[in-house]
Amino acid sequence: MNFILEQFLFYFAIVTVLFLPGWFLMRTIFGTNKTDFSSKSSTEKESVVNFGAIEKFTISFGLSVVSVDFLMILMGRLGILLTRTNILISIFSFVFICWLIEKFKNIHSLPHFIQYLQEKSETFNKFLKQLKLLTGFNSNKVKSALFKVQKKLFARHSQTHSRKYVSKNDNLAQKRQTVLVILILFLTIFIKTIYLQNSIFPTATDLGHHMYWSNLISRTGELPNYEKIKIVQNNDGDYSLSQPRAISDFIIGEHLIFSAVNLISKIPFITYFPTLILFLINIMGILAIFILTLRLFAPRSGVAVLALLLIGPLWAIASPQAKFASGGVIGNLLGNFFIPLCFYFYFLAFREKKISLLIVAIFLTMGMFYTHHLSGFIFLFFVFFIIVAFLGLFALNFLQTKKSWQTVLDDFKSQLKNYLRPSLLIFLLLAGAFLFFVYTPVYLTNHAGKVAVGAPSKATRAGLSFTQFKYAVGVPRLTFGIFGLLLLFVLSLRKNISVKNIFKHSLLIGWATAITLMSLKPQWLHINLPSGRIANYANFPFVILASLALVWIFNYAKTKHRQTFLPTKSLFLFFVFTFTFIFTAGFFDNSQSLVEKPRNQKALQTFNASEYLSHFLKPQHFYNNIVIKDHNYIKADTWMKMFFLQDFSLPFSRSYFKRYNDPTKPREMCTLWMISEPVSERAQKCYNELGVKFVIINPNFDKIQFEKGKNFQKVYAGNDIAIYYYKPSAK
Amino acid sequence: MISFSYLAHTEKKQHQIENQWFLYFENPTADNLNFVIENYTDNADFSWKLLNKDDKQIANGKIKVLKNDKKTVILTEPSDGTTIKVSHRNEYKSIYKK
Repeated sequence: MNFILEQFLFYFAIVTVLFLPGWFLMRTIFGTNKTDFSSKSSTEKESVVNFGAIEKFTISFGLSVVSVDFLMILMGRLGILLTRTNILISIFSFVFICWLIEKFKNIHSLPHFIQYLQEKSETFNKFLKQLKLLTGFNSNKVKSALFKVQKKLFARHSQTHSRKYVSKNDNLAQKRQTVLVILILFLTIFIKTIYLQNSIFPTATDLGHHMYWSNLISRTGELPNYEKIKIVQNNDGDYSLSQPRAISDFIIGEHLIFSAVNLISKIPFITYFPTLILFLINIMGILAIFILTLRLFAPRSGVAVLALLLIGPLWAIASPQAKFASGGVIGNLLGNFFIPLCFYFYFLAFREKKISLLIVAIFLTMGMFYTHHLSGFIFLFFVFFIIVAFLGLFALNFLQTKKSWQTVLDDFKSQLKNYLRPSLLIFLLLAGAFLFFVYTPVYLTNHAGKVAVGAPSKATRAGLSFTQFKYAVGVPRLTFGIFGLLLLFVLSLRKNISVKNIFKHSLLIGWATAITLMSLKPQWLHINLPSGRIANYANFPFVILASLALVWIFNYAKTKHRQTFLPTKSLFLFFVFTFTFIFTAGFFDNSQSLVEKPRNQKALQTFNASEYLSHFLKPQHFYNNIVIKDHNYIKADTWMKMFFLQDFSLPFSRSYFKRYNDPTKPREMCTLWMISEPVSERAQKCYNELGVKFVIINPNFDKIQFEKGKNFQKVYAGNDIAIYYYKPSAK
Repeated sequence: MISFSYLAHTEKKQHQIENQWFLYFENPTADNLNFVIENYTDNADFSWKLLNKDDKQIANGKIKVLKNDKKTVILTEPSDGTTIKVSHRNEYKSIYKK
């Protein structure tokens, strides 16, 4: 395909799938220009919040991902094939409905809409006249009847809309800071691009696994069954293939957007496009942190700009940043985007007491649970710790201020009234119906949550040491982050603190405390998950806390230094030293992660061999036509399954050698024997009983044992890859 | 967008196999010995020979395969215990059907 046309289709697909639906949904929910979040009575001062450009950009992305996921799930469940045309029709129908509702809301009702059309469109009037002539349909009568109905149905809505919007200048980004934000974003993208230019080529193991499912969706046009076959051994010691069994490692939301982009753009999966989408998700995650910090510390935006610096160009490559993009860690990247975005909406919903914000927050949370179970699971812990922190800080404040119980209860009741609305109930019912009757994620039906709970089953799940945690977060970020945490705690003890501020502080204290304990002491919380994986979520709260601490120190020094003994020069030197420390640590981390050369040539051999073999294998037909390959010495080996599409387990894989000696997870040994000792009796038994016909190995490591075997024919030869055909001996 | 397009273009360039060649049977499961040479090097000259079970040469030949092209060599000899050895510059690759 011509590169320019391909690029055009790629951007068209990205806009259509990842921005357009969310953009229109956002306009439908929050209106177009000025958004009135207030539900207070007219006598009270109204609070109006405008979304800034970056906020709209980030929110529309989040809403799009969730909307497109749900749309495609719904299509799949209704038996509509997931093809380019059907996806485009459904997305544009969704966009049109959103637009219609928005128009409908703006002109208050359907009859108003008819009137609007009559006023604006001559064609519509001609149509009505023709309709009246042919059928006797009287639009005016219908309109007046509809007016009566809508008066009853939408009385409340019309009343709220009759109020004039009150604009409070809540625009946080000042001109200089806007320039700074643009520069930081530019630097962030620049550094990540430098890293990705040598790792954009698709070779990553995880990405290969994920793209198998996306490819399957694109090829079949149906939602996939997340299951795989296994090698099983019966009591007589005979091997066989099991029936496909459900697996909980993958979740539908991780794959649908890739299928949609592939189907719309027709760009193959084994190209740049999956990594570029992950790169986009990574940038969106950074922006989500930025807008959350912006709202938390409004109207001061210094903390947000500093947070953007600490999460953007500094520590830009190492996990969970650009490395996750090239590594195909889809779930974590999406989780790192959704968690701050959900907090953003929960915080706004609490601050503005607006039900629509709460519904969007729940909608995004639901989307996260349809995307990544680990992120969802961790998010639940965050919420629990935030609630505990809130209750604790609120109790301390209550004791200090000596309010009466009655006052607190009345406050609580009035708060609750803002959220207990029919719209919330309807939304929750719809969400529940979707969960139970439309599509339930596999990990819920499999009860996979139980696996994540309990005593750590491996050393890698027993928690990180503090040193490991320190390097996972980044030394300066953790140092200042801890300072920020203590600072927030002290600030929360002030007598005159408002409930909103208690909530804000609780959010950060609970978030940071939860992730620290989950990473360092998982056994305290009965979590059985890889600690290193959990620590990847620690960056975000500590970045916000560190930014808060630095800004606070700066402001404190600026305002108080004249009253203290510290001379200005000393303070200046302190900040120079601090920022030198931060920049050195951040850029050193970046330099450690850079890849010197692209690793494409070996991977291309893998693709060439797979392409060759795929001509002799039928997709989804594998019996007696099984392939086994080596994972230790072949580059991009997980991408092979993309060519064969037989089953997620196929080709079978000789895994890392250490895994065959893992006492906590005993595994079948056939895959090891069939490559490491193919002529041995036990390996031959595996070959014959499992119907394995082809072996793919790296001849530089595993050639000798196959050359000895009489049953093996070498049918393909490359520099770093060879294929052997197994021909059983005639009996 | 500039960054994305640059990365896309970079990846496109990396998709080109360089300085390698492949040797394989036209059909790995069939009885015939027809084989294919796929060339991604600048040198187009390949020579091949057919060896029997005792490593004795049965047939040989030379073939030109241009860069980014592939060519099939059709053979009529029986496939039992036969090795095909292809030389190109200073290296060789072999495939066999026993």
